[in-house]
Amino acid sequence: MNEQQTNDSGTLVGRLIVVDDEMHIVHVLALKLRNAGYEVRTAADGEEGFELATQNPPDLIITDLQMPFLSGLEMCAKLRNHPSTSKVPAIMLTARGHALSRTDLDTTNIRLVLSKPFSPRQVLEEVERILGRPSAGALSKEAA
Amino acid sequence: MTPERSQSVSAPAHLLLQDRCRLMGIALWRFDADGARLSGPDEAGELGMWLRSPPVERLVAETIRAWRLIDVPALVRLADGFSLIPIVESQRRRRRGFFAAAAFGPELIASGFLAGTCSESGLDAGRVQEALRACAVFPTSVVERIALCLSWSQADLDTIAQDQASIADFSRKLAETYEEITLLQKLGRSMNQVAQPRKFVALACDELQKTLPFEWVAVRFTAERRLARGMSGRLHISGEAPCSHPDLEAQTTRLLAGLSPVEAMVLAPEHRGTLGRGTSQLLVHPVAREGQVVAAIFAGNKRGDDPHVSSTDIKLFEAAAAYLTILLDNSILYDDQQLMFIGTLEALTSSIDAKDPYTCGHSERVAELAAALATAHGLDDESVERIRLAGVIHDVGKIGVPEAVLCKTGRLTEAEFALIKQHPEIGFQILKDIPHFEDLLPGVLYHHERFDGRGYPEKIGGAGIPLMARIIGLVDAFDAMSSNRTYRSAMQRDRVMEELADNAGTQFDPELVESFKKVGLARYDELVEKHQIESESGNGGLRIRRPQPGGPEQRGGIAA
Repeated sequence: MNEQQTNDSGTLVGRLIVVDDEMHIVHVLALKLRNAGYEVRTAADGEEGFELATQNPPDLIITDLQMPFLSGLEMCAKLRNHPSTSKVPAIMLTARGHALSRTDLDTTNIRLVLSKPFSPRQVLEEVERILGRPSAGALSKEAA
Repeated sequence: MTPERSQSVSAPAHLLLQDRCRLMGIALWRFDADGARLSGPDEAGELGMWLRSPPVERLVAETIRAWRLIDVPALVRLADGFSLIPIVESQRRRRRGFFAAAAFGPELIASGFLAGTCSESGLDAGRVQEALRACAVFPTSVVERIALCLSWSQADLDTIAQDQASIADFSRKLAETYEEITLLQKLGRSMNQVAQPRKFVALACDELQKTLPFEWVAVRFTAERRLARGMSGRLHISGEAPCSHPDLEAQTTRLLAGLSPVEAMVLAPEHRGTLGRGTSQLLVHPVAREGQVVAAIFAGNKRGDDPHVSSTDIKLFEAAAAYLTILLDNSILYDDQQLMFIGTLEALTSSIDAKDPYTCGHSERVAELAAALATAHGLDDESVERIRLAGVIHDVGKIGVPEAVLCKTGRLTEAEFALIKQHPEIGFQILKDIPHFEDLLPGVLYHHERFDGRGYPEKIGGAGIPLMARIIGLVDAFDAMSSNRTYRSAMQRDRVMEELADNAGTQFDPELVESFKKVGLARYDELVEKHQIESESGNGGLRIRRPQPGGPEQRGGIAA
């Protein structure tokens, strides 16, 4: 899982962590993002995600909200307070309709909340937007 | 030695490991992450009794306590020829428990340890030694390698278990997704039901209820008047109702009143009243037109472990609500178009009827009666509506008959009567190229045919006359006989009915005459009264006298 991923032109475009206790979400997102050239590490709960992120900080973390051991929100707050990951942006996925409070957003680096079911293509586009990279999705749309 | 096969890898991982160890002659204990013993060696006979004896169990338990405290537990030699191999059971990176695998070497058999533990437990050392000979075969030098193999095997089994859980998760999710796609596809395909929005509502409720884990799904419309036909205030429910129907009506009305046109509400148990039980939430999704809530979709008593409404549920209800909005828009447009279309036809035919005050409102009455007779005769709703429409336009051809003839006060000549007899064909010619009118044309062209074949224009008879034309012909005659004519006053109802009966089989289809006896005439009488007033006010008391135009075949009042 730690092998270097590259895009079509052979360059590594970014390192990501996907955290979700629902395996199908992790697999679907990891596949989509790896195909776009990202290195993707995966975790099944907040504790594991925190451990992976602090061992080797990613460029961005995508996390579910409700998970065992440590929720996505708690993990994001801990990452914000940890020196090596205090700047790592996050995208939160939720399965419940409710929105996050202002405080939740102020005490974390959550840049975007997406409710499930989401389009993997949309997640990729949002990752590229947040990381300030040209979106492969946008390019292919122009070509089409 | 033939390798013995262990169980298929689809069995639970801990059973597989137990099986493999048994085949190798290795005794196995299983403990949870807190060190509680889950299972022990199941060997039979003296060997099993020794393995499960207090001194051996005590030693194993002590070792486990030590292993729990370290990240990477190592193999421990408990006695000569008695090694305890640690195998960590994990789920992803999380330690779920331990196995302790005991591998025995030949040194154990004659050891003081064996003799001591047997004597402590009151076991016959000789018999235990005998039993051990078959499995105490691992020299110290290979135990380390066996430990490695067992840990690899366990890691593989953990991965397989994890992958199998993933496949199960994927399959479940995929099945759900298929159902959701099918739901959306079904709703999309049913969007052409513009003429029957009720059917669409029923289908949407049923499909949502079957696809999503809710015990009931309901659609409730507001009392808004400008909705598609028959939809105002309507309530449809699929599944198991949470409460009585009046209660459901009252509560949905209350919730509709406070609903935002753009946002779904998820109500906690304390706010959803009797529309659910236990900890279940209630989902209320608005259906809006032009920024106004016109209906809402309700879903309650969610099944399964999680009583919470998920964002997936909300998205599907959102899609259904959007479909419903479009369908309502289309249905309203369709209704408007139908009303305008029928209104235009009525205006056209009334203007023809109005040429002669004695036929004022005739087409409307014929349409109403024809529909009533068609219903009494057992025709379906759609046929009834087409017959009503044919009734409205049946005399449209009179526009091509010179007014001088149509309203002539004196006796009609043969030539003049021939002109009047042209009106069915003129009507046919006028209407024949209008799209979707094909099925109405027989009613226009043949409404003056007689059952005995002596009518016009084609002198066809019996079942050769289309049913629609037979129906219109009968009620046309009924209306003519029941109305005042210049040459006579309206006949009494009894007389009219007698005339119909007398002419059954000659002028009229006898089966239709029978069906006509079942038709209630209250609505018809109301129309007569209404038209009477309109005629008097519209024509300022002008009376155009017209003598009886025809010969004997005109008796029975064919409205020529």
